[in-house]
Amino acid sequence: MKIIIVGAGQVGHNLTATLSKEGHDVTLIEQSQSLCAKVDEEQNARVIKGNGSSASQLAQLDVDSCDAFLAMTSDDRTNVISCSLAKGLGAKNTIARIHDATYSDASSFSYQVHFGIDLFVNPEGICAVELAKAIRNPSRVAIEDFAKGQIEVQRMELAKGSKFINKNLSELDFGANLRIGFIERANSVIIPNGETELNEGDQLTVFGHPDTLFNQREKFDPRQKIESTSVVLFGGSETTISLIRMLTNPRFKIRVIEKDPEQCEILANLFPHINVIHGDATSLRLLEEEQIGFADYFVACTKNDEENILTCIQASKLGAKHVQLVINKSDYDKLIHSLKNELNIEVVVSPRVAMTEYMRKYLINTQLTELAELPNNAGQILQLIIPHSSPAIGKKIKDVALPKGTLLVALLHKFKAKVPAGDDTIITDDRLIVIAGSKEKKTVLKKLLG
Amino acid sequence: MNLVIIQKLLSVVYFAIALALGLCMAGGLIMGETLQSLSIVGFFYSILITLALAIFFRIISNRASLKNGAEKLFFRREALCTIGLTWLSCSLIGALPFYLGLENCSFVDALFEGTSGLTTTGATVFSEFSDLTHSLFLWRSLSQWIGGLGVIVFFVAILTSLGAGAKILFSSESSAAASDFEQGRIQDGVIKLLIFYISLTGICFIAYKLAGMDWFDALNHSMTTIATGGFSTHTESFAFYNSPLIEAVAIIFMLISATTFIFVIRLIEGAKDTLKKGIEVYTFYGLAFFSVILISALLMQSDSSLFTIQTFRDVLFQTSSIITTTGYTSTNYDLWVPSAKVVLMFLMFIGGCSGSTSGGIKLIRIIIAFKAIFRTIEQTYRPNKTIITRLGKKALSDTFIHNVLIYVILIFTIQGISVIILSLLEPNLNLISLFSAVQSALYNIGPGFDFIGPTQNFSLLKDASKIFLSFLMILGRLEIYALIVLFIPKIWRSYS
Repeated sequence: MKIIIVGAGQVGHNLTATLSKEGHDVTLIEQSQSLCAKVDEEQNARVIKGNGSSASQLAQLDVDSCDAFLAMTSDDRTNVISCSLAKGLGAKNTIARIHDATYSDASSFSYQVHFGIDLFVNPEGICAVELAKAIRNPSRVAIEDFAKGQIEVQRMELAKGSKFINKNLSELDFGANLRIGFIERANSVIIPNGETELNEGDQLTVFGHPDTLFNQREKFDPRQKIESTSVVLFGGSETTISLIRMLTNPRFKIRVIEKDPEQCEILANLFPHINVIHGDATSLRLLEEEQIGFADYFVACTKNDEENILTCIQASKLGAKHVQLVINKSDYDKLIHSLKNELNIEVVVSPRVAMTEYMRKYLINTQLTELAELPNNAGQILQLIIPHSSPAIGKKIKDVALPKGTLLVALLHKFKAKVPAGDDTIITDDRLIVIAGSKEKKTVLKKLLG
Repeated sequence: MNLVIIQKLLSVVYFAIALALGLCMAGGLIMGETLQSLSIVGFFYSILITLALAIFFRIISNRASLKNGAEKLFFRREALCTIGLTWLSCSLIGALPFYLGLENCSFVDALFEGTSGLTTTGATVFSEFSDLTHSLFLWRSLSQWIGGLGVIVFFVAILTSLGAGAKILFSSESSAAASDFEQGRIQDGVIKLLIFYISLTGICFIAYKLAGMDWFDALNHSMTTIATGGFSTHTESFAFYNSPLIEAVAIIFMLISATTFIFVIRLIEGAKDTLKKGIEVYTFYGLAFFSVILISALLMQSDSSLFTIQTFRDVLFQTSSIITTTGYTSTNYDLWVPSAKVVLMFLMFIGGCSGSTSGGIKLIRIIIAFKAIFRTIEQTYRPNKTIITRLGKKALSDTFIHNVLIYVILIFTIQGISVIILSLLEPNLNLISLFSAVQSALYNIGPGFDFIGPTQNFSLLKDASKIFLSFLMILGRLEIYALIVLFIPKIWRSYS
């Protein structure tokens, strides 16, 4: 794949390294001579010193023939201009790194459509997705999340007292955003259809929107009560803001501790429902006064790694149940990962690494990815990207006539993920998550991919 | 919420209150009450109940602290809750001797009397003092004396184990700021304050005795004078003595007690630059002087033939008594012309200096509020000028001014709403009585006008009104916040 990257900052450099190692043809454009020299020496990629938002420069590099154009500088406007130019010059796929939430808010005006950019990515937002995963659904299954955390997977037991026991799936109404992927009963795995009856003690693996999953959980397992979760965020950074945006369910009682009074005011203005505490969370007294020991989650997301680490250790010592932290410097990555257990830190996220990982997944979209195996080799969870040659294009899902023993659990149109219903139409480049029994796999692939 | 430490402190307070009750009982016995007399028996049971409470809290706090050992965590909300709970419960305890020691005294009456004592209000429900025994008189005076400085300051702030927590306690209960002390350790400052308080009371006692009171009266009056409380051992209050000398002593000590204590202590010690820091004090004495002149002029203007030396003496005494929120009476000022009464009413709002035993809004807040008003007026026509509001040499921060203004607005709002509530409870009272009853309770003064004027008392009010007014007294004494936070459910839950 031919890939052009603009900007050799932390993100750009990391992407260049990862993608070139995987054998892609990577070209990097960077203005600074010294950065150019550094990357040129370290990576097996072409490095050009120049202006990524100059049309002539891009034309010279044959942008029209590239498969992906990534603008990864730290400046939003440069990224937008470069991507828009590249698209105009004929690049297939353009991706811009964006910090300012103004551009990604598509409610009144779509900047993406206006500038012809295929994807906006935001390292802080991706970082927040990683942090939010465990907070939103502590019992989720470690299968990949889908579409920036819009769909998640969870296992639950159908426990005594549930109203769903001994009912056919067709009789039950879970609402739109939930689907039972497969059922483990005794030693067998069942991929359910409308006639499948639910029994007490069944282990269900359920797909759906994180909030829906959480709210429905009690119906499957009445022993689980919905309790409010107290989340303390240290630092009012962009990651914090993205994270708060993800934790919209009212059961989350969020507190932000921030040093800068002006940032405190901005946060309090943005999110009237949360408590913004002005103070220094590295102070033990403040942590005690705020009763951090009773918090369910303590997440350190400041820009200062040293403070993040030490405050997390402090919070964990005080009794915070789950502790997560953001590490910005790559130098600390390995160290902290190896010390995770000793320090009682559950999740460590690096925005840079998370971003690279995300981009890699987005770019390398082979038509078929096997996400996970079902127990006992009963089948697989597959991710499919519908090619324009697929026989299913333009058809409604109910008309595709998938064989019994297969189940569509998620559908991603462009950026919007949902649990598909019979009336949804499949179009080119849609991503589907399918659970298929080992016998049915071939038929499914034929019907969907052609 | 760290309940353990609150329970511990409550237990300390109850032990101390039991001791105070014991002192009053002993005093009664010395004064010739028999062991069988109702009031002594009443005291005996009150002490038992208080001790039981103290031991109960001691035990549960000990148990809990063994479990989690988190007693060191003492923050603002624990301090506020301790103070609020202390004052609520001590008002109830203060009612016990009256309820158990008097025939025909309902619990609500006892509660009103007890609260009025502890908050140094000095309003009474007893129309006749003939039923009251020496021990009960002593309790009325002693409760005012303790309440004057503050229950917590008296018993708890000197505990060294509290460390910096004592500072929060002190500044939440007293209208003075802990930073006014020059001592590094707050406990040293509080002990100095206590010594000053006790010596002042002693000097006042001797002065009263020399001026002609018998020693029992002198003891009681010295305590209620220094606390600017206003309970007297006679239904006629100071009119009973009709002695210029006694009145002069009272005026001097009331005024001293309404002066910022730390200022007086510094003055006695001859600390440098003290005189430059006394803006509030000078304003206070200026206001007192000006009010006396104004009221005299108003009375003279209305009927100069009736204006005698005796009238001037009454004006002097009454003005001092009202401006210090003590509430002693030497004459029925309710008979004065309305214009003179309006001046008195304004003085009731204002009260004495901060960091004294007086009630009211406190002069310093009025001064700051006026400075803020003038600043705003200047800024309306000259918006670009940077104006720094100063008190003496100290520049005041915007937050500080803001808090003062909010307090003034808040207490006026509470007063307004309370008048409405009281008018619903007491449909037969006229407006001036309703208004002055609320004012008298909220600013811890004692007497009011008309129906609850200087020669009247609160006995004819309904039970509900008495409870309501008792609540207002505590609210006013604690300057609102420490009591009101108790009713905010969030404070009791763990923070989220």
